[in-house]
Amino acid sequence: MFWIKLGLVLHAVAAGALTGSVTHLALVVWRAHRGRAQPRLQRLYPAVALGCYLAVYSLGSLIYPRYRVEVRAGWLDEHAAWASVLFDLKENLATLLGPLVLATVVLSRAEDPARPSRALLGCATAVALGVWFNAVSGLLVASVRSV
Amino acid sequence: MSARGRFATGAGTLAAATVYLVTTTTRAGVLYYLPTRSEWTWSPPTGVIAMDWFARSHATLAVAAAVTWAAWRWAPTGPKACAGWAGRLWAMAWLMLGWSAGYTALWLCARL
Repeated sequence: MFWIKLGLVLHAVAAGALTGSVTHLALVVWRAHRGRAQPRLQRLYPAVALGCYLAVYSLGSLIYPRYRVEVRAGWLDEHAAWASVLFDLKENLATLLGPLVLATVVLSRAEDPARPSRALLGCATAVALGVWFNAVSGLLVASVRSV
Repeated sequence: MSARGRFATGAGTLAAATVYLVTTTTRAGVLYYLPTRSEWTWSPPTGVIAMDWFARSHATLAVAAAVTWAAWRWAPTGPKACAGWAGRLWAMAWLMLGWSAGYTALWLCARL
């Protein structure tokens, strides 16, 4: 039980860092698009985001089976089906965001920082929106039995 | 360099979204994890909790990384051809990602 709780806390901490890094990434890429490039940050944030994504993904994978049996099957499906669906939506969206996080890393290194492509703008924006949706969804699901 | 990056990431994203959508809609080749038994199986028994997320998710991410690397390695040599293909690949990738996300949302909401 201790290791599962620890995994959940670390998963949440890494998710917080991921949310911060992808939000900053989206902001610096849009700022560069408007002519105010920050080359160092435009290369740093994607790398941080990829590291955080892998940490969130790995820790989430470790605690997911316990959630599936004891939380979802044991309680959520019967008492709060909306939370069960929201959680599954979040997990699948996280998978779809993976290729986009990878794309931001490759594009931020391959492109001229002063002229970010539409692909990089789209990836950074989509990843930021998706991660925020997942963070809020995770918080809502975790709060079902707490408040 | 820029066109090559867009070509590689467009191909990787398109391939990943395609794998995700095919494994979600058809369940073809999906390995299931049975958390109550700590076992993996291709055909889960009825009445037992079976998770297909691990196989689908790992396959999607692995394909994204492998295809991005391969497309970077074997990208068209001419920058103009590379840029043209990159635009087409990214257009299809966004379409496939949107389709995948929309299908997943409808499929899950049908459970309510």
